[in-house]
Amino acid sequence: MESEGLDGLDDKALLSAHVEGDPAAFGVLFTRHRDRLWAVALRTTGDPEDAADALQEAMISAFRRAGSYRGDAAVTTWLHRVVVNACLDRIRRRKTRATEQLPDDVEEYAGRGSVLTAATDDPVDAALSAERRTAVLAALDTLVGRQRAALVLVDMQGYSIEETARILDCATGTVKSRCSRGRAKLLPLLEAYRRDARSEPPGDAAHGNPDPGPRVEPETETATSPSTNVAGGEP
Amino acid sequence: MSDLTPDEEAEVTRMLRDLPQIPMPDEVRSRLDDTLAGLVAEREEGAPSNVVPLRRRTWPKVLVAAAAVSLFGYVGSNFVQTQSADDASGGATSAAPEDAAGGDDGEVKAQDAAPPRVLEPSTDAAPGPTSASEVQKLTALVDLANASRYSRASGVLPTDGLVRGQADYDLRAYKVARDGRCDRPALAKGEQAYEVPLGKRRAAVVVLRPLTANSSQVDVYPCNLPILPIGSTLVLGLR
Repeated sequence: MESEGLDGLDDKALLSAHVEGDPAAFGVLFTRHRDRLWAVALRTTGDPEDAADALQEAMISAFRRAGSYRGDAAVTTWLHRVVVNACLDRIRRRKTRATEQLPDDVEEYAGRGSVLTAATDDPVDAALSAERRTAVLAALDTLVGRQRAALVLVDMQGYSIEETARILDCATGTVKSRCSRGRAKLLPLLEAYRRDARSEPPGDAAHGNPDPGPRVEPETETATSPSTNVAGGEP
Repeated sequence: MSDLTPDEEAEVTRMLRDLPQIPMPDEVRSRLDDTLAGLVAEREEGAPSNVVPLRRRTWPKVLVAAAAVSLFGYVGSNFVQTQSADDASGGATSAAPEDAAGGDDGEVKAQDAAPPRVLEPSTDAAPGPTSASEVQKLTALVDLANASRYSRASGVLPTDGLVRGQADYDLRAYKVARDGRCDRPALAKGEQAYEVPLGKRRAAVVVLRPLTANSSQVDVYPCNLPILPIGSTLVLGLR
């Protein structure tokens, strides 16, 4: 079967064609979704190299194990599940190695000119925006893998709670819990940028040197401490 | 659940959603294309190809290559020494249990210069059953030792037992069971997977993939993710 004819097939038909031996079907299927899968992998791992490795591992796994797809979920859900699992495995392995400065890596890619950034001509705004991005990424990196994956899928990629639950192979309540606990941990870390986001004077942040105090210590009594969240955040 | 108000939750969500989308870099795109092409070729040919580069970073390749060269030399010379000692004593004893079936008909030597890494039986002796199993054992030994070297730097695999226990490896004793501790790798017809204990309740997965009537590829995988090999060797004379 040629690629042109495959383009009109839906995901399940493509996967079936691949299982039956069509050499081009999996390529059409994976190409169809790989940009979204890349976005999920990049934000889940927080590191472009790990994301590329995870995506490659996931693609190989999906290619070779396509026959194990049971058809009880959408193909794209299955693909996302394979990718997220590969990412979580990467994160687990990374924790056994030396700590890496992940957000900088991402920003390095962002500096290549292909990143879609908010258009602004004001260098101060641009600097603040970059600083906020770095802070958000750094805060995101403090979350445990499963919390992070849930937030990436729900808050960053816009998947529904139900779809995310299918991807992560857990209950919807678990996804809600992970998201809520993850956000609760992020909020105090982003306090300075929260003021900035409200268009209030960001204090020292306006000069590229935000006060580190509020970013690590919650100002509100209701916010759970980071250590508590890490330890008790996962069901 | 959290103590955040709905507004606070929405604010965090907005900050996350405001992060820019970073398109897939061209280098990653082409890497995936290459890998996919290799997978397709592998399936069409019915044999594995080099479709799974562990990482396109230079240092692990250098590390593995250096380890391969040094270990082949070390292991190969040790093995030949063992064979020579056996020959001198009439083949009555050997480090390899299979030697009892005919220890003098299959000298194995390491080829440490020609890429890819190849273990090749000597040309003056037809590879009989004994030499084949010795090659099999030696391959596992070398690859696991390579994995050990690699894992020391990368943390991909635990190192305990990899080198210490290498003399005891006989792949056929470690066939992966359905209820084994390691994940089962994807196997094509004729391929065999082995769960090789590393000590301290850990293991690696070694897969033999026949290429032709007298050659096989040996891939070594981490126990918990038998997708990307951390060591590979082409073996001649293995039947």
